[in-house]
Amino acid sequence: MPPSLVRFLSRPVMIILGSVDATARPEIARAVGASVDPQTGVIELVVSRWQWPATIANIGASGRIAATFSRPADYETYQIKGRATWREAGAADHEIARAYCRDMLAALMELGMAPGLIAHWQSDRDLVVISLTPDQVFIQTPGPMAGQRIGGTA
Amino acid sequence: MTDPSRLDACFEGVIPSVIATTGPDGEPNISYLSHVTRVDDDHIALSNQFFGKTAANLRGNPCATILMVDGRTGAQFRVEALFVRSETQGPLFAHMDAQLTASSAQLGMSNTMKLKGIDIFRILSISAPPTQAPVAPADTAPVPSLPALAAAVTAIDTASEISTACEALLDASLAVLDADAAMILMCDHPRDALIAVLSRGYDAGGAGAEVPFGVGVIGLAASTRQVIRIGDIGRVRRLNAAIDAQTEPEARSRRIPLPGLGGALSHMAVPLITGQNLVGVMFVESRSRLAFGIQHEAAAAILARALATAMRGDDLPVPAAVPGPTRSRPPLTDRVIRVRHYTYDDSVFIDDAYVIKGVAGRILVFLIETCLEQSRDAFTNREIRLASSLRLPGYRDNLETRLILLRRRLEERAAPIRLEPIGRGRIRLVLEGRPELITAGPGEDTI
Repeated sequence: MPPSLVRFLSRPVMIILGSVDATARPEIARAVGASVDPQTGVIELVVSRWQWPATIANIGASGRIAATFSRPADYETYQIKGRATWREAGAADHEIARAYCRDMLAALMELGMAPGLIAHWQSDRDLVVISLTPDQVFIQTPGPMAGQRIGGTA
Repeated sequence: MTDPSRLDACFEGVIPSVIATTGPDGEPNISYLSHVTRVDDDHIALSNQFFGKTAANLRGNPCATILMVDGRTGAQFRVEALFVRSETQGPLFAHMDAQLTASSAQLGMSNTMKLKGIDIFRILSISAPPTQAPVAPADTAPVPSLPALAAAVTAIDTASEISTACEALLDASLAVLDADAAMILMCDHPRDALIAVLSRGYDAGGAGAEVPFGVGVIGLAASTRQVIRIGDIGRVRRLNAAIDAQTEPEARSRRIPLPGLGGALSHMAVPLITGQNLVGVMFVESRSRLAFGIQHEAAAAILARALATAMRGDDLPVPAAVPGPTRSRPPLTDRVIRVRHYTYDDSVFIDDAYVIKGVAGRILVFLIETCLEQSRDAFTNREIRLASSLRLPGYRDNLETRLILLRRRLEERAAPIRLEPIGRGRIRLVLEGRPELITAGPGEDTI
């Protein structure tokens, strides 16, 4: 994974997750924190199972996930697809979620968004951690490069 | 239970929606999309600018899950939907295309956000994911009152003059649509430009200010003939900034600045169309975020139709008994009013102050010339319309609206020459002195 992408994923960017159930129906969730291992490229995503239970169930069943990371200020966006597993969150993961929610709130308020709106998209209840091992990375920033594949391990 | 009206506040394009689809290999795909519009009780339309993978997936598996966000409260809705078809033309496509053009221009992304098509989905279910956000108060977003709307349409339709009809529309913009400021602009046929006629709620009146077709929300409403709504201007530069940034003195630029509402967060521009004819644009602004929803859009469209029809009525023959006695009113003072007419753009300066140019400038000069030559101050619209020296852009030109604009501009300049209506189809030229008309060619000094 390019170092610039590792840095991008570590910034306050909006994270949305796509998964698929056993009948091929797609599902959506939001993550409330991410951390990247620069050596392995594995991305850990903190998600509220209370808010997005179907997504956690889908990952347990299919082991696949798509995650899109987008910076609201300039719409720079990447979609990463790969293998996924999940585990219960520990104290360190809660800390990652707290810091992410704080920084994301500040970034969105900087863009003129009211904090009351953002509260709907952030939950710290019943957190779990999804480990995403990337297979494919795509540029999804609006523009001519959108959809272009830039890397991955598979 | 679908009840798509729950989604009404999600259709503003303020907070991007999310769509998840499944690939042929069972691989999930997740993408943002900018605009979702309600088609009917069972269908929504999604803008398709660049999500190629999403579009490809839907051809194989029409199941989609869409996450939409209420732009006012932030509340999320999970919508299960089935892809039905794509459209690349038609009224719905045109409406979304215009709306997208306006909001992408605002974000400086005009070229990247070109609408390729709209995808129509059938709604299967709508549910709300659990939230830890404090329970939002009951929805108190004001919706235009139907009785008030009916009263406003009656006021516009029964107005004896176009100026009264315009004033009724401005009244309704504030009272029915809850706008903080409103403006009516007319088409300056045959140019692709609009001219501000009457306004309400601004520090400066702005009569005579021009907006080219295609520029800003107002110009886009005219060029696309679509209602354009911008619900959250926020920190982003106003679309009309380029027009507003006019700092050059009027006398030099011969351009009147378009008025703007300080702190405006919502804009809506509605084309004034009757039959197939575009006669102008109504524009409303509010200091509230998301002030104009789809109910306001519908109410504004009804008001706009009513005014456009009233403005077209201008073309109807004026009752024959019009000419009547005209008399010359001698000026009360010996004051000389210096009127300069520059023929190359028909701009008119009164006592060295820029007043107006173009067709309205020619009309003003015609009235002054005729007054001086024939010692009379009353005129019928009919004789103005028929005056060959005016080279009016055609019989269907909206002369009466031009006269309202000229009258208002003279008032706003506090000029020593005024126009006064004397019943429908007639005006009087009021002079606070003796006009001295000088015709200047292109090479001569401006002031």
